[in-house]
Amino acid sequence: MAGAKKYHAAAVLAVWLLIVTFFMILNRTLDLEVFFVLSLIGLLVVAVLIDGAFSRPRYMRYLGYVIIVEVAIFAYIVAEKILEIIAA
Amino acid sequence: MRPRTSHIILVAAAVLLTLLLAGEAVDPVLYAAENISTAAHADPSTIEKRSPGDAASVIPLMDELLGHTGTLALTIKIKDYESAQRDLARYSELTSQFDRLVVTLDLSETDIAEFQKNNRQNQEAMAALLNDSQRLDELQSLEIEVLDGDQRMAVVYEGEALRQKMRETYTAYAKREPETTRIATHYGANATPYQESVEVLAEVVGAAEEWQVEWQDGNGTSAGGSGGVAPRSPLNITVTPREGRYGENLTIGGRYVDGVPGTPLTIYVDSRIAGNTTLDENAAYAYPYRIGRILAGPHLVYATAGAIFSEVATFDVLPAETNISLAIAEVNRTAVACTGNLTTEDGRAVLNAPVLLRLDGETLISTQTDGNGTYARTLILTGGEHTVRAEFNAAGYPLNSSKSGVVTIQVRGEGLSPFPFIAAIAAALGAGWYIRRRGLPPEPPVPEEPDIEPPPEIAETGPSVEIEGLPPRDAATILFRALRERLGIPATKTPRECARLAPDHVAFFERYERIRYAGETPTDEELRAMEQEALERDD
Repeated sequence: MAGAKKYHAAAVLAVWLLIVTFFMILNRTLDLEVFFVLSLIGLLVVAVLIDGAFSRPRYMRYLGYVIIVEVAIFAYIVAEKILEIIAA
Repeated sequence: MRPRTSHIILVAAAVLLTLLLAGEAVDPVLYAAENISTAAHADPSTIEKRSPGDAASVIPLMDELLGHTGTLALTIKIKDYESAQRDLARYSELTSQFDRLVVTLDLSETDIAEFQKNNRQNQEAMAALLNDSQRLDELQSLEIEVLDGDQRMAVVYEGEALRQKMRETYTAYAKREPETTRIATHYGANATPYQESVEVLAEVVGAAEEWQVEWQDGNGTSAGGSGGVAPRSPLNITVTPREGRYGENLTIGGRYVDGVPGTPLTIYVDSRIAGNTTLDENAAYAYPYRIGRILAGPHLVYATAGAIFSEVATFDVLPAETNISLAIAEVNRTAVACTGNLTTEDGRAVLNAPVLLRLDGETLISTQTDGNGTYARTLILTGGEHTVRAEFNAAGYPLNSSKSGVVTIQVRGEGLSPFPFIAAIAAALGAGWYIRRRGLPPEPPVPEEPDIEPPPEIAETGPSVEIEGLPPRDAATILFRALRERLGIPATKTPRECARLAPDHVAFFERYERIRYAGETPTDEELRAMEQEALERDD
């Protein structure tokens, strides 16, 4: 049962990304940056929900690395936006 | 991170965000796709909402334009000039909208562009006919009031000039009718109002000619050049050569019999003042007229010296081809200078003419040629490859439109700012630190270690733990922690890892794993055995 958690998490994340894509297409505002930010939010929520109290499975460690990379990209996007606003 | 610090940061962030949102609530639109300032921010999904840029609006607009010609012709016919001016303004507005649409959709190679050209000329013809009809009406009233011979002549000459001009304008208007109707019918637009407008305008021009005939019959004279027994005007006028192209000079000249040298003369082209000149010592005059922004086709010219009007002369302006060049030079990393020349086929510069630069096939940037036919415009572009093409639409000129070749440029763009990279690295480090901290168990094990870890000499007794009265599963957890601490295994290790690190106690750890994760409840005997193993008791 415990091993199925990561598959459930992956499924939930995929459903979340599909929902985001669906509404972006519906609104005709396909934007990679917005999609990335929403996917990061989904990943963070999933990571918090599947994290155990007493044990730390290996996939959580790998998920941590993914989160670190995504947070770095997110910070890059935010910094670029700030520079755009300053330059405007 | 301590809970108090976390709470302080959370509250501070909440307050900051609330303040930022409060500022936005007063003036909520900082950026919207509808008010974009640069091409880089353009959102294609909003373009059709912002302007009639979709192809579906072309046909309705054609319909509306054709409908307006009928209305306008009728208002001119019934001499309701106020309504006619309003209709003409609306017609001009729609024409401009249609012109933009043709450029935006890049329909310049289709018959829609032919329709646009004809429509533009129709609009100019309508404007000219409206003004001429109005002026003719004024002349009709003036003719009744004025009895003086010279002034009467002036009225007659101007009337004759207007009549000829109206006839020519109408002829050109009617000549465009078959082609325009064909295109309109091809696209399913209703051309009936437009066809009716041709008939109505024929009546308007016919009425103008009738008035002239009446006048001639009643007075036994007519304007020069129209036949009859009219006395010749003492002010002669000739145009040499009789035709020319854009940029060429025509000489409007003649003699004023009995004229005094130095007498000022005014030259009119199409009833508009083209310039002034004076009589020389031979009572002759010559005015150089340069063909500029004037439509191709026949034009009327006459001169006045005070109250004396000359006869009416005509000249033709022939259409000419144009060539437009485009050269692009890099100014800096983000700016490029677009320059070029607009010339006619025989090399004459086209002066002060509007030029459009089409960037990446979509965005249009307007500029203008100077007194040498040269245009220059600096474009600020984003990094990457861009295409630019220069276009001349020739509206109002006796010239045909032209386009330059497409020039592809590579813009280097601004160098990468280190700030986003620094932010990204800082965020990665911060996230790594936070995840690492979060992975640690909630209770700090370090301060308790000296108390729990027994000195080597009393290691056999083990640490003391109290499990009396606790639920069996909680008691098992406490015993597991006690054994883990006694063996010096870090608190981050799971029971399975502990079993791997301490094979002597594998049975204990496996039993605890089942209790912890499989939800089994240990019996009292099992707890006692686990307690003995955890605390190293022999009893």
